[in-house]
Amino acid sequence: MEVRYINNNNWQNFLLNQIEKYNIFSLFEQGDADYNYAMLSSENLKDTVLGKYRSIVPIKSFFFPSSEKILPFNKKKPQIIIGVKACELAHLRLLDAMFLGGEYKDPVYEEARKNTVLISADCSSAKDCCFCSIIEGAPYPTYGFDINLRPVKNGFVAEILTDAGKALVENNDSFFQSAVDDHLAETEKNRVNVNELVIKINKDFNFAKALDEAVKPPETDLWKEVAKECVECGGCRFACSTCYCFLIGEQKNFEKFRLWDACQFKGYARVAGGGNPRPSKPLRYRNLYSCKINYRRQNFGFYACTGCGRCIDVCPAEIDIRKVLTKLSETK
Amino acid sequence: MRLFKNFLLTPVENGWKMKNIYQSIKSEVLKITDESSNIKTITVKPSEKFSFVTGQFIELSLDGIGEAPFTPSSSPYQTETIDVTIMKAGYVTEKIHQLKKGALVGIRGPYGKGYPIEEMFNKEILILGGGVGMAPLRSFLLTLIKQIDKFKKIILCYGAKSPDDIIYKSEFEKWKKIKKLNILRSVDKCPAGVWKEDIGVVTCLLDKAKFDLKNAVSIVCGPPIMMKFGTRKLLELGFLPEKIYLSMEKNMSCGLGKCGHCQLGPYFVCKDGPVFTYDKIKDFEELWD
Ligand SMILES: Cc1cc2nc3c(=O)[nH]c(=O)nc-3n(C[C@H](O)[C@H](O)[C@H](O)COP(=O)(O)OP(=O)(O)OC[C@H]3O[C@@H](n4cnc5c(N)ncnc54)[C@H](O)[C@@H]3O)c2cc1C
Ligand code: SF4
Ligand code: SF4
Ligand code: FES
Repeated sequence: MEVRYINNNNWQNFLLNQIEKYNIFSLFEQGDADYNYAMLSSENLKDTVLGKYRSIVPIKSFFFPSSEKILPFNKKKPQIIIGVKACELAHLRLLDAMFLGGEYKDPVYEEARKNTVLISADCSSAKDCCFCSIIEGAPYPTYGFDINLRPVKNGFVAEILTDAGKALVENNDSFFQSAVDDHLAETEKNRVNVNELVIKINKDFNFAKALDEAVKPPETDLWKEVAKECVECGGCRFACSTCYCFLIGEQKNFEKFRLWDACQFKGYARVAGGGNPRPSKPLRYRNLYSCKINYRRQNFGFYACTGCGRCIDVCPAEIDIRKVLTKLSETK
Repeated sequence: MRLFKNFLLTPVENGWKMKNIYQSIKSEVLKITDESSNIKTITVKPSEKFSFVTGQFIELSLDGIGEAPFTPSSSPYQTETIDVTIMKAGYVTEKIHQLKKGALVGIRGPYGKGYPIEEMFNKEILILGGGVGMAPLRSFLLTLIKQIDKFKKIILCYGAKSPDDIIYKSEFEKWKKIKKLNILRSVDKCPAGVWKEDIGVVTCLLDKAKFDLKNAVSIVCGPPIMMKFGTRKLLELGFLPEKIYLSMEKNMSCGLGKCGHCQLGPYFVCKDGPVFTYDKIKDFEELWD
């Protein structure tokens, strides 16, 4: 993997140079402690940031929006997404497996995916709900990006992983310098620090056992207890980028669109005649956790939860997946 | 700052050149057959070549209305047209029942894994069907009949609510004449004297069926409750779980293993099924619902 250095000033110029050719989505501060994506323009360029941690909006929205036409569908203008975090690259790993794996490739997802350059970044801090480091992740990207940025004083170390990343750097070669050992040492220190921070934030949670025995989560009263608080808004599922479920709708001329759907809704698995495999909230809850830590892992070899904490952030009932998993570990 | 701007982009251009997996083939309704008070068979002619393996299913769409999964009930050897036997059960099926000859519908597929016919060569085939579950079984049976020399014996146990609810009535008359095919039928209830065959739930027929357990496989399709008790009965009779083939019905939207709806444990019934041997799925509690 090629490693280069780019200073802040050159970074801005680099971005400015891409605005014509690409739709660039990059992070902006939202409120005191959050980030969100917006389309980059020469006007807002000076305000964009790399983000200390992941954005509010789930990364899936770029490739699998909440509603979209799937037949026919649009060609996508090439886009660059900047500031993607490690937990989100893990989300994309799962979405790729679902949408592009198997016998059929989803053409709509593929169109968006292949027209996107991902510029990810190391986290330089973590939210209270972040827990990547305790669910087989880390707060820095190790796969799945085209270019990864590690923030250093006055600039970034750029790791260039793919041909798409390479092409982008080569076309703008004058902005990049060679990286020096000092830079790398600085980023390594940051990586260790943020990883430790995530571990510290999560010191009260211990669910290694629930993960370890990647067997089906048992029938316990825990599901009833958790589900009691759930108001069935589906927010946790819509915020989660490994939630790939959708429902197809039919339009005139045999055209089709799709909408996000969620296993937490009562009608989700209902069949004609009224049969429903998961008619109650506890059953749906158990299925959700099974999907995240067991079923998809059986399919693909990794968890369908990456520790991004969005479901914790959005839940009006304050259900915290880490607490549930910890309790689950204790019931075993 | 314009957050989210691009998430709402509207289509500007249709970028599709190759066939979109969600695209269906326009098909003309050639014939509509009333099978019972709430079941019809529609015969459609796809405008493109379409073939399937028995047990695989299709998504059938009505323009601007909706789409639902069905298993072709015709023989896969019949290539020009496809029969789909449909019970009125809700919104889309209600609209399908209102179709007239000449209407255009969409079909896409075939999806999933069908019955592994070759694994059944030289065996005794015990078929257990109930209600509209006879639809895929008709396709299966026609497939067996086409190459009947390859099978030891076929036993068809079929149950319906009442004599009027029996579907494929005229075909049963033809099937009864086939030597290697043994047909047992039952109805749940019936006024005395009208029905000469068995009365009772379909699983009772299994006690009358004669087969060589060591060399037999069983094929089950019907309403969930029948599948459940049918499977239980077959196990009692000594069938190994891996010799019981179940055709599973789950909620489906995409049919392609993408949308999640048909999830059953780690499986997606649309792509890993809909035909499963019982051993693969027996531990999932939500199996029969
Ligand atoms: C593989 C397979 C093969 C099949 N083969 C056949 C066959 O050969 N013949 C046959 O007759 N049937 C068959 N079926 C069953 C058939 O697909 C259903 O009967 C059909 O989908 C019913 O559609 P509907 O719109 O009429 O029913 P509805 O009950 O109106 O709608 C069914 C769909 O809409 C959703 N829905 C409806 N109401 C609600 C609500 N209030 N809240 C949330 N969601 C709702 C359901 O979840 C379901 O997805 C098969 C099913 C499968 C899975
Ligand atoms: S979960 Fe980890 S990778 Fe994701 S934002 Fe938080 S610290 Fe960064
Ligand atoms: S389940 Fe929650 S923490 Fe896990 S990936 Fe989804 S939103 Fe993030
Ligand atoms: S119906 Fe969509 S995944 Fe099976």
